[in-house]
Amino acid sequence: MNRKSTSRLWSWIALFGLLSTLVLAVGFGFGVADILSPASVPFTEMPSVQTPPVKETAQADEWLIATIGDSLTRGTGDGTGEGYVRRVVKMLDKVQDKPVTLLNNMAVNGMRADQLSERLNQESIGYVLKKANIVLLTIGGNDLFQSARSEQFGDQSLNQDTLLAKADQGVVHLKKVFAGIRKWNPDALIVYVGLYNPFTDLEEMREIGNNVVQKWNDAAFQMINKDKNMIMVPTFDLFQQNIGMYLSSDHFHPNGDGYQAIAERIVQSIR
Amino acid sequence: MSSLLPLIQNETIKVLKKKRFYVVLLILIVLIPVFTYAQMKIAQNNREKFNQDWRLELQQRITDIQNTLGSDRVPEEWKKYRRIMLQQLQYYLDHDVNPDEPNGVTFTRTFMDNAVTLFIPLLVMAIASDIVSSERSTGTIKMLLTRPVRRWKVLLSKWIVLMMFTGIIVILTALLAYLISGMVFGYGGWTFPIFTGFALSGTEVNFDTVHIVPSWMYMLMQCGLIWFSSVVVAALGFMISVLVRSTAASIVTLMATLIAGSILYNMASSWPTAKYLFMINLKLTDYLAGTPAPVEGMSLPFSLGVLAVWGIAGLFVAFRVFTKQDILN
Amino acid sequence: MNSAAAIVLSVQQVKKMIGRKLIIKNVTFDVRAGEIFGFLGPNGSGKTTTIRMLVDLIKPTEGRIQVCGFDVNRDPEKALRYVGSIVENPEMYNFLTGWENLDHFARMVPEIGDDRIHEVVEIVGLSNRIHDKVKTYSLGMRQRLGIAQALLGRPNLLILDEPTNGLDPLGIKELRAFIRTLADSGMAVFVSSHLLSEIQLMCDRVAIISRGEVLAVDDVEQLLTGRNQFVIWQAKPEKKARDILSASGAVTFFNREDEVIDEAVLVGVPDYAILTETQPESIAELNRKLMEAGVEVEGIQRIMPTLEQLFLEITEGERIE
Repeated sequence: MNRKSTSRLWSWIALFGLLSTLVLAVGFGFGVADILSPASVPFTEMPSVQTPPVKETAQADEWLIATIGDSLTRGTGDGTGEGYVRRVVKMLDKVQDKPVTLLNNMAVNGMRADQLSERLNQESIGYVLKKANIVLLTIGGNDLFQSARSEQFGDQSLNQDTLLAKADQGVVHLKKVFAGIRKWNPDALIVYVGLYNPFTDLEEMREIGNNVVQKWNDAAFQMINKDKNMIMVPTFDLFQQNIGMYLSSDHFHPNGDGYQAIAERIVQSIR
Repeated sequence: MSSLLPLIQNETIKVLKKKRFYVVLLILIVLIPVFTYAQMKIAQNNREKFNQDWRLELQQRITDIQNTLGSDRVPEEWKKYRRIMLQQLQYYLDHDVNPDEPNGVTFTRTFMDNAVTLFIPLLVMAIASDIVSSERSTGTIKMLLTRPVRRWKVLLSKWIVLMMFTGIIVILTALLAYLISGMVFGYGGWTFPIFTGFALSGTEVNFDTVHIVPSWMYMLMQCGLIWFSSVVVAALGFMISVLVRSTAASIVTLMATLIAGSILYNMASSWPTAKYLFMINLKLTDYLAGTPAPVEGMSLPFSLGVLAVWGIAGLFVAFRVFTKQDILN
Repeated sequence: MNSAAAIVLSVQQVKKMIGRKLIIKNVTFDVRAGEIFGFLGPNGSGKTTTIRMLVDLIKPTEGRIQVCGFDVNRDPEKALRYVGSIVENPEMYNFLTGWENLDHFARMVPEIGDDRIHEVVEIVGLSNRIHDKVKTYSLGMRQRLGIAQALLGRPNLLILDEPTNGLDPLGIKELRAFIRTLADSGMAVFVSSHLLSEIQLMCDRVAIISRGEVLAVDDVEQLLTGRNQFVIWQAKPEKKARDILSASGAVTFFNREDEVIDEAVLVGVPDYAILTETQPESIAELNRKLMEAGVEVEGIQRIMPTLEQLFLEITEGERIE
């Protein structure tokens, strides 16, 4: 009879409710205990650091790209948000038969060479680099011009001697950066995008800027030249006369066209 | 002296026959697949983008957070929250554990974390708001209270039944989330390691007390904490149900409070007194996951205390009013 | 009536304040086993408030209510064991069947089993619809179900609030007979109503309440006998009849415009009819006088006084005394 099934249902529900409440109360007790005195609950263990093994993926039949560095690699200033990295990937995809994959863009805005060499010690960054067979990077702009930007082109910080001193310091770190990448991946093609002078249209800064950037690029070239699997893509000349066309409104980062120009150069040199 | 059991039987039968509980079930059965589908789409996207490697995806997430930290436009509050998240994600990556391992258990865990402030309270409210007020709005209270049974016993039986259904709702939400999402993500992952015990001080995370719990244990603790919050919500809903004659009015009252709470939650940092509100303290699971509390200085014992005071006060008012009140209409 | 029968319900000087207003000023009466006790008063006189106090829905501010010797407000668990009641409308759980409703209430009283439920369903004649949902019931069926739940606990006192509401004339007649059998079996039945005629037809004793005060408690017969009644005379020639009635000194005349008699009653009464108030005992005598004088009496119609009229008389009486 209908009535009997109702009375059976209620007792099942009541039993389920009672059990649920008991289970949840136990869970609540465990939860409180574990938060107040960590690892006091059964089935817990202490963690150990583990590095995942990387399979040998860097084969020639695939382009696996990892990118690292500063805001240029991030693509800051590009209205489309693509930066040179995505543009390179797209263009390579068109001109190449092999599949092109962007593994990771590990660039962080405002990064300097010393911070990057520090960052390269991280296992997790190394993991990505190990998987790649092409590494694209930009670094150095912030080493030279970070303070200049923040001080609104104040003449003090932009005198030639302080800038050259900064370049000398930065280059030391740049060397560590290259070594850091190589440590993780001895075989990958490393593409370093050289610096340009964002101040060529400022009369008092043009010459000083050019000197400092050229000094940096020279030093970088000297390091890169020692490794047959490293290339440097110059951008200095690209921006020398086209600063109005290629720079974004912050007067420091390239705009979409500027990134396009950089990307085309990279593709030309590695296709 | 009649015992409580028959009264509990009565109340259970009424809740079941009123079909409200089935509506709750239906809501779960409709909503969970929607979330599962959305989650599946995200997972698919990520897998395509990151060459099937969660480590790459996680690294990208970390880098993205690092980039927002550099921006001056991001409010300090968010930065604090993200700095902590960054350190935790990095910790997962360093220990080669995927915090979002795609399986039914992970989905359930995430779903429950998001359900605690609004969704589960809403389901509990569906039962609680009605349990006393409907007797008054339909006039059956006159039949109910003219029996040779003391009023506090009648109310106590209703409270016990409400507790019962609160437990059922929490368990069923987790169970259905697991069963439904498992169809897509697989039913594994019960022993997958979860890190807990991140000690927060300001924006720094102290990893000394971090330890591993298996997923099932984490979920048990998580559901337990959610249950406690739900019981407090049930107690307050119960009180409103006693005070307000109309079921709709009692739902609206508590829903408005909860929604106001979830809005306040994001602004609480600039209004420290808000930490004494029960709505701000509902996310007990934050203490388990190591997510920073909305107001500086909140801790698990503090939140438990605040919730307990609200809950007990709610029950006290409910019983006091119900036993003394004249039934005038 | 057997006035020696046990007192089942005793209400002693009950007062109730709601807010600052004294809603019930002074209510005192007893109800004995085996009698049908009417509780008569217009709407808003405090009837329902009093009934709610009898079943512990409202606590009196002062005074004492006892059922079978147990205080309703202090010891409801014992006192209400002896009471079955319908307060206002018999509102049951619509989403349950009739049977489930009875089962629900049976569980709240110790030692009431399925067989008792069968019994009361049999008594109120709902057997063939008892397993249908209450929301499908008509008003009459709900009344029956309400009575069934009131009888469930084999009460000594049955409290019915306006029980004829929503019933058709046949249903009302059945209900009256039914209540009489219950009383004959020894149950005390407390019936409230705002209709004097209903009380007169149903009850043995009556309490009249107005503005929160009980004005009189008496046997129904007692209450109505010895009081003037309205009598409508239709006689020709009118002038002569009026003179004779006037000469007898036993009647008081009224005009239609005085509105002492309900308009509905006067529909179809010819213009020449004479409206009077007189002692019922003198009607026969007056009739004889009219006939002797050669007046053709076409009709003599007695009209029950309305409740308002009764109140007026009772309060006037008090003033005189």
